[in-house]
Amino acid sequence: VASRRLRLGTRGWAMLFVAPAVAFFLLVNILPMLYTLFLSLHDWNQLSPQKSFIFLENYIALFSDPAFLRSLFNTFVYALITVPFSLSLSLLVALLLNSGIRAVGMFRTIYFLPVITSIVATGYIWKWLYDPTFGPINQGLALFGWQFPFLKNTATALPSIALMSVWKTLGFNVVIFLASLQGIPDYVYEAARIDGTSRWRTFWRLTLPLLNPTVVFLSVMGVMNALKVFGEIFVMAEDIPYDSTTSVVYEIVRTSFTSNRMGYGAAMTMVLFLLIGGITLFQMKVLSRKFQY
Amino acid sequence: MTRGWRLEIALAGMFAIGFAACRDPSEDSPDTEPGGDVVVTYWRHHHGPELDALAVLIERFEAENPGIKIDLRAYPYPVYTTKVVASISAGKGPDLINIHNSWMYGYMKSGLIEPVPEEVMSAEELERDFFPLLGSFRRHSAYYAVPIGAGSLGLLYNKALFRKAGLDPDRPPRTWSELADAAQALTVRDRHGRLLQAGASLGMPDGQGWNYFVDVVLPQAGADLLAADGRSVAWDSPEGRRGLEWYTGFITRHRVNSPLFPADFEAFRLGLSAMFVTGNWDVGKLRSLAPDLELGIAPLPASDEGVRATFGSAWGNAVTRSASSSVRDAAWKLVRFLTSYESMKFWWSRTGEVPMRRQVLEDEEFLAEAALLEPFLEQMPYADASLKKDEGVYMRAVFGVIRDVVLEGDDPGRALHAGAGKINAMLARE
Repeated sequence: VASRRLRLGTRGWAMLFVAPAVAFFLLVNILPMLYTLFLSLHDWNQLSPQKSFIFLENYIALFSDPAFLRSLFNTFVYALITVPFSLSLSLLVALLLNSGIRAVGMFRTIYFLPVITSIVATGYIWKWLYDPTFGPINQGLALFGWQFPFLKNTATALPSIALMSVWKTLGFNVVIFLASLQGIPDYVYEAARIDGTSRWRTFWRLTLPLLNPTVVFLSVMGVMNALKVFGEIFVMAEDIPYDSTTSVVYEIVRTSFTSNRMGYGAAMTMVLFLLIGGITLFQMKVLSRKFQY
Repeated sequence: MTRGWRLEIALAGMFAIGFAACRDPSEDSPDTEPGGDVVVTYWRHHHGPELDALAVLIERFEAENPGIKIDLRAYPYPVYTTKVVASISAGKGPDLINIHNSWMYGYMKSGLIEPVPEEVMSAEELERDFFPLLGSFRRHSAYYAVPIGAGSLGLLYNKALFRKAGLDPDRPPRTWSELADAAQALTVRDRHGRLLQAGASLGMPDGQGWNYFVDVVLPQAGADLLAADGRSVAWDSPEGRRGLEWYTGFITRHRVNSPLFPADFEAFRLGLSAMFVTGNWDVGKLRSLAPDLELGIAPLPASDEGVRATFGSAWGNAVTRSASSSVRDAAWKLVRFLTSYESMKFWWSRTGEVPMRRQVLEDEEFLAEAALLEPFLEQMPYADASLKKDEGVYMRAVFGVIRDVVLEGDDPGRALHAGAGKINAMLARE
């Protein structure tokens, strides 16, 4: 009897401690997700009390909606610029910091600062840097009679926002890469040195494969964040963004809360959710390699 | 069921109740106070001068109407509509709201707000006493909101820059051609051709640019705005094209402005632009930010054929479907009080909004006092805001049209057609 009471007691205590987290997760994640799915099958203008069931009509309409398709395209372009660029640049910085230079801690802190700064603050500073008249970059170019439009041109706006994003996420990637680099045992490199392997070959055949889990982690996180981009666009793009700078989340917010079309916005949300889920699974399957020290 | 499971269910229930108890009790607005007073809950977006003016007006109203109490609450502009819409659809919203004329369509159509009852103010009375801009609060011959003040677009110009360019600072441009000529005379460039001073901050959709283009330039060019059935725009036409070419011509043809130049208000404030178009709502801000600027204000130039037009903007007071019958009467009583001519004049003195009643044009005393705003007032008899249904979609499409021409060098006719397509899809759906 005593052991049974103890068993139930342990379980009860465990539940008690887990309950707040589970309740929070249920209420804040799972329930809204199910409600979004429910809404996506309805035609509901938030202004009216009527929600009419239309099954998949919202989804069908989405795939012939030029504004949504354009935002989907822009979001992928944004991810394609930011993720590879940010990963390779941060790996380069991490390798430099790992090569035995002094004051690594200080550099790590400096690179990490943008990560913890609010996107609103960094967004406004970059907007000023990019300003065609008052911005320091264009002030410099003006000496030669040049002017670069950055955010003020439909073709250059999205890459300019992506560049800021690369700068902002760099520190996070550097810190993670640095930690993994420091986790690679020295004897591996020693063996390579004894074999007379060139540094270039050591990097490609040893370091990079050993960093694979980190690369997978960072690219999955990077793609997920890039596909959900909103703050960067909201702060840096024009008040009414160009067609070339909208993102899916921007489109969701505008449709749901400016046009009040909650059902249609919910369908966009579900599509984005499925896309992110699918791409993440694909990345984990394709990028993951098994290895042993 | 084991004891363990019972515990889990009890815990889950506890949390559910806990979360349910987390709702904000201040959201509940009782219809009557313990003393038996009728309480009208009145929501507005936060704007300091307006709230100060309202505090005074409400105090007067409550003194005149014992038994009615007004519970005024203000919310930041960015969350205001979301909050109003969410709370009214949840059935516990405010009784009275302030609402912009550009949002009216959705609110009226969905029944979120009530029409003005005949016995409060009849349609004939409203049409006789108010400026025609009131039409933007009408649906199927019923009016749904009554504004206190209003605004219209005017031409703001820098008198000092006029003098420097050899133009008469007391004779602002009166027609399209004069505007284009003055803008060219006022433009200054460096040796690389880079713009140093914009003759006129026109040609872009930003700021009031898109409103000026749609509700002023297009009608002046002879284009109709909306088809008779309201399901498509009528400006995808040669007249519309003429309007678009004229407006974007400030950048593409006359080159008196550039997309890379600072935005209109900013450029004008800094003395980098000689003219721009905005509403009376910007005058106070401009005077406090740039007190030394020699500000000139004029009605918008007429087209060369003499067609006058301006865009009008107004916030109306509307009673929502959340109001119970006793509260509804009290709410309309307040609206009647707030929109009396006396209240409007007081409102003007605190907020700079032009009174919405026509009698202001015969009030010599008022006109003498409000000399600076006269150009805006003068235009009120024809100020208008066309029906856009979903304004967000309409605005984005118009931004696209102007940008396609200015930034991408697209053919104006093609850009206009593409924009009309986006808007027509929305109009047909709404």
